[in-house]
Amino acid sequence: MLPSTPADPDLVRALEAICGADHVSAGDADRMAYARDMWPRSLIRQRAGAFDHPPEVVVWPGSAEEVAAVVKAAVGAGRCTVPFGAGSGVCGGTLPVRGGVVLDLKRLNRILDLVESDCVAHVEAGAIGEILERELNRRGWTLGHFPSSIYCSTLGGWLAGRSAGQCSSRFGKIEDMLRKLTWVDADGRLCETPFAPPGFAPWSADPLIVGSEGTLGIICSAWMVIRPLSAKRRYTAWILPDVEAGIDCMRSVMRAGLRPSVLRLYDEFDTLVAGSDPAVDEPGSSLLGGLAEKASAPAKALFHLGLARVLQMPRLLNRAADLLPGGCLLVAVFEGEDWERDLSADLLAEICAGRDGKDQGEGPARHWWHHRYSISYKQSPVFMDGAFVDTMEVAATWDRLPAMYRKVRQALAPLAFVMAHFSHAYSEGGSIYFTFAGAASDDAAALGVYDRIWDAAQAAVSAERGVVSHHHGVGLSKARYLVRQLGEAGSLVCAVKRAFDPHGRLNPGKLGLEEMDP
Amino acid sequence: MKLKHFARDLGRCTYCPKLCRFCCPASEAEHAETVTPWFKMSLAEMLRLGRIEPAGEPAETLYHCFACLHCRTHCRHGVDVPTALAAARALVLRAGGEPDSVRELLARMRASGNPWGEDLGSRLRDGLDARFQVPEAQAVVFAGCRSAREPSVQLEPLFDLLEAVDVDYVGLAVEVEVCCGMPLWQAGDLEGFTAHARKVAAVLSRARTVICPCPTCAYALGTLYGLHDVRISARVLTADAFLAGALADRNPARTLPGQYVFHDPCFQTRYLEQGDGPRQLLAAVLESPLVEPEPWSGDDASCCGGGGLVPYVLPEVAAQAARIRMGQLAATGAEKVASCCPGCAQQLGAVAGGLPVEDLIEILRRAYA
Repeated sequence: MLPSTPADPDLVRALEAICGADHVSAGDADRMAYARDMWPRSLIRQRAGAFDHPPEVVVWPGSAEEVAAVVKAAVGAGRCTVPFGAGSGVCGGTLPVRGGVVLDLKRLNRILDLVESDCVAHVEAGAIGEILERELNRRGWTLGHFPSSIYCSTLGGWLAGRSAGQCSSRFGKIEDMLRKLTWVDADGRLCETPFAPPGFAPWSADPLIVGSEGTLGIICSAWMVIRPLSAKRRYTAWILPDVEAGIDCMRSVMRAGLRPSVLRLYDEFDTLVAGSDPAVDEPGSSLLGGLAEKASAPAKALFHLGLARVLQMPRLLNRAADLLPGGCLLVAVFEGEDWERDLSADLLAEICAGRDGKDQGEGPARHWWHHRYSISYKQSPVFMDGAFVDTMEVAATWDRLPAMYRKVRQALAPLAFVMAHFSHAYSEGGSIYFTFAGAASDDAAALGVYDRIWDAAQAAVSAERGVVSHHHGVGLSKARYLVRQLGEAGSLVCAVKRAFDPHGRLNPGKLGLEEMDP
Repeated sequence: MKLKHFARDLGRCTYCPKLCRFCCPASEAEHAETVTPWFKMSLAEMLRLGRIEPAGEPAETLYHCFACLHCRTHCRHGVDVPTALAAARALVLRAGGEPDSVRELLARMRASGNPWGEDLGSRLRDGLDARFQVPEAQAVVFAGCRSAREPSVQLEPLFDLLEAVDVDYVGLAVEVEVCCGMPLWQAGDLEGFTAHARKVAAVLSRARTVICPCPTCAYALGTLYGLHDVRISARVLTADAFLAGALADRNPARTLPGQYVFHDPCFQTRYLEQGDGPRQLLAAVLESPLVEPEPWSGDDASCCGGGGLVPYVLPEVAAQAARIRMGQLAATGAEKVASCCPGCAQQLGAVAGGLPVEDLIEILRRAYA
């Protein structure tokens, strides 16, 4: 149930004076809605009827000046502030763990300027990704940022969490597209730096604000690089014998200087999921359907037990997945001029053929493109069936990547069913996107299993010198792993935090900043 | 239609990462996560499980839905949010927890048979030429409350057009409730809706064809009544579907200048799946090709803000949705908006500084009459 803590009427009046009464709420429905994001641990708690972190007040400022005034009012009242985009985060980054004021930024949703000659657009932080992209497309441009959360996330959220889109290999991560920020500091001051191209940009605080998840400042708008909309794509897909061969292909592609807009490798089981029909909607079938189809008759009977029961036998499931024949799917999509697309596809073919790859034509890549946002639809049936599913996106250099993949799988085998794909590639390394699903006898036990999964997985990542997060952010869920990863450097991070926010009023409890602070 | 029967859909939405968020007009007009399909369905699920009371602010939130069904366009689970929320509102209504604005709307519906609380039957009888008031005709026009309120927008042009093309077997059903009863259904008064539907069906029982200028009425009479065991034996057609047949062998007397952009009414395109019909009729009479507000067109068209109970109980939210939609339409560079729903015409027509909005029937009248 929702904890009943009435809002301070003086604070509410002060906020109403800034934003208008229609844009401030301390009502139960709003407090419940903003007490959660998409952190799967929260969803398990939610299944049990819990609202662990309701805010005191939700406010919808209509301008950067109003954001600044709200922060000042909150500081004056001794409250913390939590910036909120669209709540699609999966790490608990927007949960108001100390209550306080949640600032929903979606009234700041305009394209303020678009300078065609310079390929830049000035966009407010609350713009929803898909709406922004559609409007840019209408004008003949693209941001080139396509996270699978694009339907339900904002530009400000992407910047706050250092998001990566599905075309990151060509366009970069969101921070690579940023040219300038406008943000509000912990004292309620509006801050901005002069605009400059990256080659001669002045030193500024912008790089610290990006990725700080609202703990150093609240992003209000950003100048972003945009590109002319490309109508032509070339799709290609290969099956590689195993994950190692696939990783080697990705590494070779990036070292050859190719710029695929999409380059994704799926492990054996995720290859089955990637090729499945996302419309399949029986509980559990869309997640484990591929495995059930390939299983022998006695094993098939297991799947009739229901997803939650089957997922309580993770060793068996992972063994079965290990025995799957079929290889690993590599999907590539190229954009640009005709010569670039053709040359890139030819080079990719040469690389893959040299690793015993089998050409699958363009069909699987077109299928992937068509269903590129569909994976998230598979989440609901899993939770409804009493199980849980989560993802972990980590990164490492190429030399460590195969071992990291194997070690995480090995660590999770007794705890959860696990699959993975490799979806963001760079010349030095890449990311692994693990999906794991588990279950327990009840929600309390499930939380225990869930926590053990994360501890085991991050220990394996750490052992291979991987980074705790590639593009989902840190929030609450990875805070303790970030503390461990930063080690003694954590004290420097804390010094930065103290300089920006000496009283700890901005999105407290996140990034492990309080744990690191000596 | 009980909430417990929607457990699957409620669960699908509750644990979904809001994949329809960007296209929900309530979410875009209000900017709040609270009114996203995700959270409204989460509230309905909590209601089903007895975790919240069917009253107060959480219950009021259930009415922030335009019933536009745009969310289903992007739902791979095919969840019907408006119907699930109507079932949740029925539970709220039974408990007496509906907001005052809804209680007042229902009082008007019960007193007058329409959401305006006006004597629309008299207005219709007085406002439309008596020669068109032929309830025993083979084909009767079911006016609908919005057209009845302003007969000059659709009804007068319709009969002028029919007269001009020598169609003499169509009359107006005047001795009937002028509203299809949809507001009752959307408010969760399912018993009231069924009783209202029976009254409408009884009067229309002699007709062979029922023509609905409003696609919401066409859906109600042709589909929703049946789901509540009220049968209308007549063929129920939207006005454009009827006119497509009536005008099939005729050439327009003139083609019309101007650049028109088409606005898809939600019930025409997403519920009835008849978005092509009005486009084809317009293509035959317009000098310039019809403009589409891509990508917000067809199944992906944004709601004008005229759907659900929102215009009655949350008029400013409805007005904001209309401004957003008008912005999409105006961004095409077109000079005028064409549509085929009186609710859309009223909602979009009220946007200050927006493009002029014309109904399909009036456009056809100018071309053929």
